[in-house]
Amino acid sequence: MEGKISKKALAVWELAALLAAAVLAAAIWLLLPDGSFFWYLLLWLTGFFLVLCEFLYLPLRYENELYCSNEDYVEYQRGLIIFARTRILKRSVLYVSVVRTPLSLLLNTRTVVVCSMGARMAIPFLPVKDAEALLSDLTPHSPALQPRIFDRKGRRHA
Amino acid sequence: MREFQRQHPVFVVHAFSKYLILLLLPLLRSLVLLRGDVLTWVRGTWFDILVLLAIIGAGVAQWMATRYALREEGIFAVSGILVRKERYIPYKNLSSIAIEEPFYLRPFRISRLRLETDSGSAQKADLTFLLSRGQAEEIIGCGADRLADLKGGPEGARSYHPRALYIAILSLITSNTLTGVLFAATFLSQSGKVLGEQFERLLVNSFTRIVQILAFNIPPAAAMAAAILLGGWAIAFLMTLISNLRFRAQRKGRLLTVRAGIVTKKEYYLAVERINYVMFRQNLITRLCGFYSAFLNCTGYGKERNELAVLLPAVGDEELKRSLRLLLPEYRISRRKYRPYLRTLSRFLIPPLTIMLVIVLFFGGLYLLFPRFGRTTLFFGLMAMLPAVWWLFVKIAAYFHVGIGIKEDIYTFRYTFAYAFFTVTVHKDKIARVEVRQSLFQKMSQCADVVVHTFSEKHYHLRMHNIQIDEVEAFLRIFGR
Repeated sequence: MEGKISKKALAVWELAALLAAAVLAAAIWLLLPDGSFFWYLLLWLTGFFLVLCEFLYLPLRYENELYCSNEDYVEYQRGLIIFARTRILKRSVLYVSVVRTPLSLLLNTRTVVVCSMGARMAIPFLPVKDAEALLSDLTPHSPALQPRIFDRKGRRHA
Repeated sequence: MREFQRQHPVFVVHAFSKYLILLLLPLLRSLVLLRGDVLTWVRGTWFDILVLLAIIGAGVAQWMATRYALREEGIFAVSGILVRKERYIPYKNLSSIAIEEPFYLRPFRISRLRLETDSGSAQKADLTFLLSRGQAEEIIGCGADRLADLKGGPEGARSYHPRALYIAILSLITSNTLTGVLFAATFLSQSGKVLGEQFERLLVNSFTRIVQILAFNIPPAAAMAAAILLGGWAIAFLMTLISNLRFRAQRKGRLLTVRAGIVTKKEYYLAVERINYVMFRQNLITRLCGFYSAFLNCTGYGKERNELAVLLPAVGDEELKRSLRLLLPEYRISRRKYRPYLRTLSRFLIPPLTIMLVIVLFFGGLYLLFPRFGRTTLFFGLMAMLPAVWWLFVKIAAYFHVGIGIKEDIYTFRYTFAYAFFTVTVHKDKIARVEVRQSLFQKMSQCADVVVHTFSEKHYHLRMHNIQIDEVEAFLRIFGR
């Protein structure tokens, strides 16, 4: 089982970037003297980085957001400047949570949080159907396994 | 089903001992220095006496409310006055049982018992009781001794007794200056509260006079800083030494027993299958001398403040393998299979070299701007440069240390953090999460960091820097099976 996060995530990130750029531009507009060198420089730089973000960084970052789950493990990869792949073995999963926030209610998405002892992994912006499927795929159907230290190795020292 | 039992009656005063001493000592002092009759003393101190009685009353109520019963398969405990808690912990879920006997409780044969599972608070034990030695041994008999009889571990009992020199080496490696400084500061302020301001002032003045005598030809500020650092380190060294003297470890079946301490005697009963990982720690000096200190991660062991989860205080290369085979034959250290390549050496050296450059520029600038303070600036500049140079040596050694080894289901992770070198052996089933992180610069040099989160009550991760990317993929393929 593998998939991508919802395309709505990209829309949310782009909107957030647009808002951040608008706030920054307004601050530059109001705080710096009109028409000065720095006024122009900072406004142009804000516009440049906004275009870079909206048309290059965020779409590429979205393309990198993938999750997959097989018999043994669940993996989630993300990031562009710092690319990260996170993997949790299924037999060490203790419980799985599906998180709904006001924003995810609006977007019809959910965040799946996979918890193990001493670690957790959150996969955000999953379409509700995919989140439910991942939940049933990952939920441990029997108690978490005891480590197999003695089953195999014990006989060696007996 | 057995009857409910209560804690030792000393619990009534022990639970609130800190507040009792703060109230009782000034009261007794005023009684000793009393000039008039007792009634006058009562009139002057009636509020303090009332608070004292209220504290003792709360202690009695808490003692009455806390009970436990030993059942066939677990322990049932009831506690709380306003919020009542009932808990049942099966013996097979216990990770560790700890017994502490401070010097002041030993004459009364009283012990503090802590029961721990992998669940619950990361700061506090799941169950804590103040019991007579007999009661504590009864709980150990039910909760821990059954592990010694289970099949699976090595045959017979195996013991490990380190030399006192090894305990000193452990203290040398693990002593933390900050702990010592905090201990000294708490000691000074508490002594002021209990014995009066005059005594506190006397201590501070004596300390200042010692620093003045020792500060020969050194700027006063530098002498004070050096004295605080050295004094703090010496206190921390002594604290670690005292709490780990008479260290003993014994393995029987699936039970590992550790005993240590002379002022406060401690005993730990650990379920071997609940040990999350074994960690070997070195610093640059002990690495050059070939010494290791081994620590365990098992819930409840090393959880208290200033407590270390020691397995082997200090051992050489050969003795390490022998002692590990003796106590925990399930864990074996394997050679590096995945490691950084020579072309990533620069990635290890860039951080310390950058810091050295920043120090030179900063203190060089200060020296030029404020020539009046030239000597002090030079002194602090040299002092700041020392740890940076030391870190450079550590990073050079780190290149030859970092890596991942695999032997069946036991993984060995080697990494460095700050000035310390760590080697961690962990069973595959005790790995909670693996993350591969690659920055743009690492992409260019075709390497990545591997971050491993192990099972642990507190979040714990280890990071192997700059492993070759194709080797990382090979590791992930093996780990995914």
